[in-house]
Amino acid sequence: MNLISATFALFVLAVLLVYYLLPRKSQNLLLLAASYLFYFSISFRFPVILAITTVITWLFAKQLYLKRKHRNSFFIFGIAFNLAILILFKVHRFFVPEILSKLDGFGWRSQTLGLHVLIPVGVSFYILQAISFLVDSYRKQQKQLPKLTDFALYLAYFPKLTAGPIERPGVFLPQLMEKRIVNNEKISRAFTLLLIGLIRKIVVADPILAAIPANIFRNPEMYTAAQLIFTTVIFILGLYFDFSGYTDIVRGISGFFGIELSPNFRWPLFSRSFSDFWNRWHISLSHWLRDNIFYPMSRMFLKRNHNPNNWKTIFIPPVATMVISGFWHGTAPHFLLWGLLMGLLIAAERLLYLRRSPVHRRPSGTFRAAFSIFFTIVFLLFCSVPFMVPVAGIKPYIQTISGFGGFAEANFRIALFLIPGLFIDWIQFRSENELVFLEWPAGIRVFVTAFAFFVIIAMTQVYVPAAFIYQGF
Amino acid sequence: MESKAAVQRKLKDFIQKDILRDPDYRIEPDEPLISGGLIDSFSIVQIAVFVEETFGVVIPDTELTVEEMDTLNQIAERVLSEKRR
Repeated sequence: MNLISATFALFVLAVLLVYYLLPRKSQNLLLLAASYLFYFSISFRFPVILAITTVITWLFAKQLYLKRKHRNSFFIFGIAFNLAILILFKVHRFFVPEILSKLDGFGWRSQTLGLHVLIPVGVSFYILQAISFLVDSYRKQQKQLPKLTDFALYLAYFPKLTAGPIERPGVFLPQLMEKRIVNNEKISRAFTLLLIGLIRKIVVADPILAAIPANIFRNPEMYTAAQLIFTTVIFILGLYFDFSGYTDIVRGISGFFGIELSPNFRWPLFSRSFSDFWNRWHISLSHWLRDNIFYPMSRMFLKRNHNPNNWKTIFIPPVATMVISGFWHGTAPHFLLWGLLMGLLIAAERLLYLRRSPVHRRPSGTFRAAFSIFFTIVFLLFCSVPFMVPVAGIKPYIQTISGFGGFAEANFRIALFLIPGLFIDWIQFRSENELVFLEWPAGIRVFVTAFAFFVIIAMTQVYVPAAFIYQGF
Repeated sequence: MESKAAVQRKLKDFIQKDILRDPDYRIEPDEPLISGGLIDSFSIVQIAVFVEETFGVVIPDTELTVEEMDTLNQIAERVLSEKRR
């Protein structure tokens, strides 16, 4: 079931209708059943893996609450179990094509050996949430162990199941205990988020991503420098509007159920430094990595050497964190290279900052702020090349772009689709409020909403809504 | 147990000297340090280690956030509430 489809819209409406008729305790069970039904509609295998992960993780957490002895062992085994599932599917996808081609080379029919295992959609997201739950249980952050059904809903909640946001248990689970208040204010917030998300996805991201030649990053030597540079910029922006559109849509849908999901983006196109960027881009993943890898590692180095300027403290935590982020996106070497580059950028920035007090570092004045934003985004775009281009294609990519030219072949007109997306970002960024549109006069809001729906419907007649890119991770 | 003023003073001295590297900078008790761009992720860990070694209080990694640690007041409150436990 695609999130941008009439079937999904009807599914959400049907669940909402029953949801509002039920008392709070039954509402959670309805959401759990609806979430598994939604997952089942994608593949009948996926809910089985999710259910096994849920029950085993919850049993480990139960031991962490009940037992005084062997807590460390239960904690380590619980984490190892979840990591094993994540690595199994991630590494499996990496090695399977090679294994299959080898087996086929020997004349064995690989299909019969059961190696064609599907990667469960959303596994990368719910496993991180399961690990967060174990960490919280180890520290006994919640007063008591949540019920199995509540924990199951935390992992399976259908608006966020396929691509996040990666919710913290301490933020999501308390909402399941409380009474859901869905008043006019919450409905207009949810509706606005949903509309912004649909514009970002259908009006901006889909036409842009559809215009990108399928093999451009695999065979960069077949294109001109201008085509490659322009496509790189367009792809990253398309990815941003696709994923931020997804996040707004699911946050909007969840708002109708009275459950708030965390924002994933805070206008990353206006980042003034690399570390600032990672506090604005895919925030729920960045914060998970920060809390569970960067902070513990930095703490360990600082306690050992008591010197924040020691090279190990500066380089190892950000590089390790970002390489793991690369692995989370995919096990192909180009993702790991991308993570390494991003980690080195953050560490290098820290090294530069050591010379200057943070008091004098804050950009003052429009020109300096604009320069910081421009420099940060250009550098990040260039260092994001390995995210898209496989390792074998990086050398031909660089060779091609160094022979600057070929402007006639690039389809610059596609950039026009960015205008509504950039306009929304600009308005939100200026007021630091994603729902600033609700402050507009009622007449303008009605006109803009009607116009936006007209454009959205018109665009769906031209472009078939594509699957969200991050559902593939 | 130390008073809130004493905790704040120690924290303020540490942040001025070791994080901001500007002893003349006056930090207001409710000045946003993280959201104001004065403290980044590297520095917040320095503060967490300082708190741990000076006051014997461990602030969990998941709580080193802008919501919990943005101002001098918030950090001091956090230290005191952990000490009371």
